[in-house]
Amino acid sequence: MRPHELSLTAAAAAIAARELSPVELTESVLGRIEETEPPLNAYVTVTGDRARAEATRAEQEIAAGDHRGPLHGIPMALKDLIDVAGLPTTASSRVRAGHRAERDSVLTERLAAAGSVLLGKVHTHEFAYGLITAQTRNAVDQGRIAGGSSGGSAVAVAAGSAMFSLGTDTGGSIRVPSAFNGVVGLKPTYGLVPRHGVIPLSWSTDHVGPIARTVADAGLVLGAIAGHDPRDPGSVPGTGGDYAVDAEPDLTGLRIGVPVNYYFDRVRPEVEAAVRAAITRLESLGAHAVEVRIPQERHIAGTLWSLVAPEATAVHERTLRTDPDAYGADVRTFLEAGALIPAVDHIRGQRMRELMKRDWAELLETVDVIAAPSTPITAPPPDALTLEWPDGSTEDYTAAVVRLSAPANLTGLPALSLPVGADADGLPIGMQLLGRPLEERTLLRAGHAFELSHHRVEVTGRP
Amino acid sequence: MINGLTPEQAAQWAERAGIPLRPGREEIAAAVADGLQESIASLREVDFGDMPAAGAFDATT
Repeated sequence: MRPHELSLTAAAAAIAARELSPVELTESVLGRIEETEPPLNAYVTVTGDRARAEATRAEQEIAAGDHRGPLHGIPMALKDLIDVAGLPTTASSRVRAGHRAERDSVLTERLAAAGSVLLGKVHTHEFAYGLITAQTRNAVDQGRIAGGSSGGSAVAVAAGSAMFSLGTDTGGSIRVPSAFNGVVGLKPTYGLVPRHGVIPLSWSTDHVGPIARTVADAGLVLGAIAGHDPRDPGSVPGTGGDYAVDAEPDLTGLRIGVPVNYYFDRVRPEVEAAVRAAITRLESLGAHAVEVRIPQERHIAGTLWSLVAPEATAVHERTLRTDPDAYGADVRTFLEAGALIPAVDHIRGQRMRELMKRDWAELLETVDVIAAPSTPITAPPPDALTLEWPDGSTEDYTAAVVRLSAPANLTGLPALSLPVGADADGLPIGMQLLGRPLEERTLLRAGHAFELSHHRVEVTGRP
Repeated sequence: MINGLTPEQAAQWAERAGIPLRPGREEIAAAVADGLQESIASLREVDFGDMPAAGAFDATT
């Protein structure tokens, strides 16, 4: 096994034991970038010299006895909405031509403090306003879309060209590409991970979170980036801490809500079967399943659009006036249309999300976790973005994936997507686990238990 | 159902919002706005009672 194929957890343990050096690991990952770029085109910018210098410094620090923790010497990539001083933050858009960030984002600061090594910036669907990331190819099947908007983040992690990455999630943009590429993505509770220095899409529903190869890895990254920062008005004081998972997680008594409405409606049969099998596996580990009904299901999509569309237009209003031709066609049209949403509809959306928050809180008094598909489909080809359902209805791809992602953005609840299987074409299927506010540890515990069990089945044929 | 915006109305609304549309963009902007509004319109059926709007404003920072 080459170093870049290790999980973050395994690489961190090897570095701590002085069995692997950060320089060796970073060279391995940079070599993997050489092998995969192109064709995957996950990266906007590769900062190889900087990465080598940071890895050398990490190696020296660790050799001198200054080991800062599990991310020390671990190479990673940042979605190109996240500022790094001295580098352009392109947002994968011509609108940002000539940009150079003056200061680090809070995430860049925190990951640097943890000793991680920056490999470069990875592609987003332009300004995170879409779920395709057309520049980037799916890491499992290059004929399929990467998903988005954190497409580069998920593809790099899946391909081994980053040990972990950060993404953003406004309507599914961490979970969708994670599911499509067979990696783990965590959308934290709204306000747990601060966003200062990250280009916004929609202030009231934007989240930043980790993408990694295992649930345990995602927990290690979350521990480095969570916690209050007063420069983000949505940041929650008194949060953060250690999110490392237990080696032997115990799910005894965990109540798993299985939706009887909404989340399994209009879902491909292979996706539903894989997620239900994963729930059965969790039950075999001590959890018990409870049927639950999702509240306000008719208003989920409308509420998300009432918030995101006008807020995104507000974010971009200056460049919409001065340089509209620089936007891609799809993003430009959505931004222009956002100016035509009445303010009262935005306020209705803000009232509805308060109703949803109340009703989901009641729901989460009866269960500890809700399990559902991350996406209703596996990654489609780029020319098959209109979905046909057995009931004869058709659905636009974006509407279909937002449908399952949006509740966690509106309620702000944490949602963890993890791989639970594959379809007949070998394309990954993701399950999302949703939980109570700031109870990421419960999601990580359940997800880690599933992964350990899944791994045992793959290796030994026995759960 | 909602009444769709005409291209002329889209141009007027955009102008009024302070983000005028470039010539030739009225029709597609109106069509996409209608699609969004179709989804958002369900919120008009809801009795919100005394539920206040969520907000990010924080007077303490």
